[in-house]
Amino acid sequence: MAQLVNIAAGYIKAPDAVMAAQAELLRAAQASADRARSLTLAAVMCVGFFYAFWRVSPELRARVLCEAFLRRLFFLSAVVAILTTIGIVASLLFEAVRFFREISLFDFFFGTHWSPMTALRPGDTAAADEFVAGSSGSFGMVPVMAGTLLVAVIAMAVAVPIGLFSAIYTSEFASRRVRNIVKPTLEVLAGVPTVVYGFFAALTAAPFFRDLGLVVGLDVSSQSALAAGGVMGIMIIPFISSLSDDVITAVPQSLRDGAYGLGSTRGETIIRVVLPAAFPGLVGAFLLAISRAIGETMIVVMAAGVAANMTINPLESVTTVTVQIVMLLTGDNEFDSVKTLSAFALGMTLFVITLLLNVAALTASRRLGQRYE
Amino acid sequence: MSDFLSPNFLVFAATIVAAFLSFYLATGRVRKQAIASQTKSHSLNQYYGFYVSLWVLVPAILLALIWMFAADPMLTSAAKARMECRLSEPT
Repeated sequence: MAQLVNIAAGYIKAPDAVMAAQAELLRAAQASADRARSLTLAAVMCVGFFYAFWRVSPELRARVLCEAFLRRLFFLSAVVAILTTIGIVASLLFEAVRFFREISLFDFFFGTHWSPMTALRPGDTAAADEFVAGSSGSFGMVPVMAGTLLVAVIAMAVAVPIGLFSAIYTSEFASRRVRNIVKPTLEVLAGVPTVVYGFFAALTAAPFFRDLGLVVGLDVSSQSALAAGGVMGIMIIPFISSLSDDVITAVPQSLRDGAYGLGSTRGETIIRVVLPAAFPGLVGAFLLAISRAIGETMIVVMAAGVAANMTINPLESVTTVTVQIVMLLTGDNEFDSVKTLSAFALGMTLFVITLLLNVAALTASRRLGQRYE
Repeated sequence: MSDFLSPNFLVFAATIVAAFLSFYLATGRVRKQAIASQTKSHSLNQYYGFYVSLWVLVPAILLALIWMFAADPMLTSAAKARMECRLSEPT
């Protein structure tokens, strides 16, 4: 059928006379449908015009009607975003369900071996047929998820201390002038395209870590989780520092004044009063940062490995969910092979995880507002 | 006919022109009526223009959208039916 449509559109040549004739019929039908549409549109416009034009008179409250229309347009714009999200989730779910018809839920979520087979079409060759029939591939997402978590944990280990400390500095210690320079500079980091971080990780950070490993006598893979995670951590520093800064600044001044009044030093005030008060907001910021680290693609595609290793050694190469999705969906492949479908199952899992993290982050930071406002 | 002047593009262009035209027609009409009846119109003149333009554009856009999603599958399934009919015939 798709072939017929393509022939009718003139993209490919008809293989035989029957197809050509059918394509000609389809093209004729399309042309007449086009004509019918143009005529209908013209008619609708005329009707609309005459109806409205006939109603125009000084008594008509045109402004009120226009504003009602605009109000509806604004509402629709708000709905579009929501509908798109629902559409994305629905398509993910649909494909994931097709995947789980082939591979059991248990195998996917608890299997410890990940090696999706190449998407050979049954019928390409006899060998391919045998290959497809004889093996279902291994779709256990545990090693892939473990790699993702490992990279995210390394990223957070880099980003949380640096981000949090810089936030404490900018919000509690920095003078207005220093703050006005430091904060925008940190936020510039947030604007660097992730591709740039990606090749920084692959070409600068990874060799650096490997050489460092040689110096201390450790065997560091050239695609170590350490390099990918470290650069990803640098990427999310501005995210954490600016969110944490907002949260810490939002702690009421009366709490600080109270602590000072009871005789505590600046350091005691920050550790005993300000940080506990800001804690829910900070947790929210960290959770948002984790969900970004988990969903981050470009850095790990360039700097992390492809093979799914089950390891918690940060010096080895690991793969992540996003890398696997990229691997599965780039290039030519069928859209109904299990291999391709597994990408949707991975995407669905990733989406659910980040969704839960974001919801948790929102609830955590909302709690801060409720306590002090 | 060049690609630029394809029939569908002409319809699109005509729609835009019609919207502008109706704007000016409507503002002209309400101005004339207000002068003739010696009353002040309820809204500024331009609102009458927007009102008529919207009535020209919005139903047409909605219809075009619906058409886009409905017509193609119908055509394709009709062609499919023809194909199957053709294939089942003895040749």
